[in-house]
Amino acid sequence: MAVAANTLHELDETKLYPLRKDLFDVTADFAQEKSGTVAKIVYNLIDQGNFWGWFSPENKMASEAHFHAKCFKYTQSGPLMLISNFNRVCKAAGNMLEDVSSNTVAKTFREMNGMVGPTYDTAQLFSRIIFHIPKESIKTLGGVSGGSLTLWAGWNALDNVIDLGTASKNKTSSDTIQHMLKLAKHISYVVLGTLIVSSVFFNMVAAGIYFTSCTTSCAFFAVVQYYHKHLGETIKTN
Amino acid sequence: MTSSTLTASQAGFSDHLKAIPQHFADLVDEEPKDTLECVITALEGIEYTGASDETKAWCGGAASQLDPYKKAFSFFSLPSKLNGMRRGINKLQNSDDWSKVTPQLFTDTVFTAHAASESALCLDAFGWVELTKEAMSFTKGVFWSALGIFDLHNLFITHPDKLNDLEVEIGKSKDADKLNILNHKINRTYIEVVKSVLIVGMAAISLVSLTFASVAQGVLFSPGLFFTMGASWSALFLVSFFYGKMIDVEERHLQYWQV
Repeated sequence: MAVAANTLHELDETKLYPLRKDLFDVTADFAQEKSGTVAKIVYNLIDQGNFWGWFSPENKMASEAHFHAKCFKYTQSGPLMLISNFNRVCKAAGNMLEDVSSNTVAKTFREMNGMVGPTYDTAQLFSRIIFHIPKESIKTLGGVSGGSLTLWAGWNALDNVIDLGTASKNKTSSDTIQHMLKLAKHISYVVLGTLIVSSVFFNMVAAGIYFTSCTTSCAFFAVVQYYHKHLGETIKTN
Repeated sequence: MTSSTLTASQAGFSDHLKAIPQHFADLVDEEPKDTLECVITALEGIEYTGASDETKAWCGGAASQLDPYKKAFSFFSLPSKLNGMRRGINKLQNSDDWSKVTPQLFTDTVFTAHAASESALCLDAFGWVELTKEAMSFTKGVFWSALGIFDLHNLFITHPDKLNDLEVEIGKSKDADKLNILNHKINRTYIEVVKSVLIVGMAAISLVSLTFASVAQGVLFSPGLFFTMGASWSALFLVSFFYGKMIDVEERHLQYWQV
């Protein structure tokens, strides 16, 4: 017994239990950190379910879950994100005022563009709860938001392509995969944004499933990217 | 002029002014649930003002509509809390130093109980699970017990330890600017202590009213008192959060001058 106890003392305690994040750890962290994405997945699945006839029209549970998941997502991506992004705009504008260059102007424009989506999501939230803004009145804002989404995602996709070029030269294959997943996510957003703009401003008629498929694809790549990044990551111990 | 000849001054008013958007961004990024709690409390507070009945009804409605989404944050954090427990149990099974592992596991368990009970309340608020009167009392009991235990732990262990460490640091430090920051940290810890006292008080009132529902009347258990305590907590939460962020600005400024 004494020998066993000594051996146990000699062993590094940290080696006795896994120090790397496993599937449970990553899933638990994902649910907490990306709760908005989880809500998005829920309402996308319900949208898909409705299209493929998994739920009967009388299924109140599904429609309520859809409503609440959307509201929760909009709570995060709307007012809370608006405050967060306002800080980014202030920072970028401050830098621009200190040094006016094409870089700082572009950065400020980019950050200001990032305010459009949260503004629309805030309006979406208030069209469902509290103010009950009529949906028709925010349709144009939806189109503008689609344009802003296309611009944001297109810009990011371009950055990803540039990063992909440098990553393939200097970094590991894991970095390359990360950049590719981000690129796939941003391309999905570009398609979604284009669909929104086309339907709002050019009266293009597109079936709801196209929009749902695009958002599902965005959420899918976001999830895969998160798991790829964090699975096997070292757990910080005190 | 070398940096050593410069005096490490305190951060100026403009430094703090510039940091305000950052503080608000940190608030919504780090504490989205408590931010919503403050908004809900502010809306509920309208009921106790001289506003028109229409405004009061609207604010009450808005608060009750936002409340389930605040609770939903706990629902999404539940897997993380459960995972914390899983890790704690794993450590406990593989470690011979129980005194080191048990307190952490205990904290994880309290967190899990709190998140689980608030998740149940969230599901009830969404109308997906209808809790019976007894189940509701039990869930609220678990919720307030967990909060009370956690804040009692803070009140008697975490905060005194922190104050002690800060006092020791003050004893060691001779730099006036650092001493100033440490004193501010002590003041902030006192605010945290008052916050913990409020939570313990609210938990005690809730548990007594849940246990003795029939006799829970009068001034002590009036909704006004409970609301006042909740509103005070929200106000102190905001004060302590922004105070902490202002201390961070001062600290960064000091580090900048010391480089």
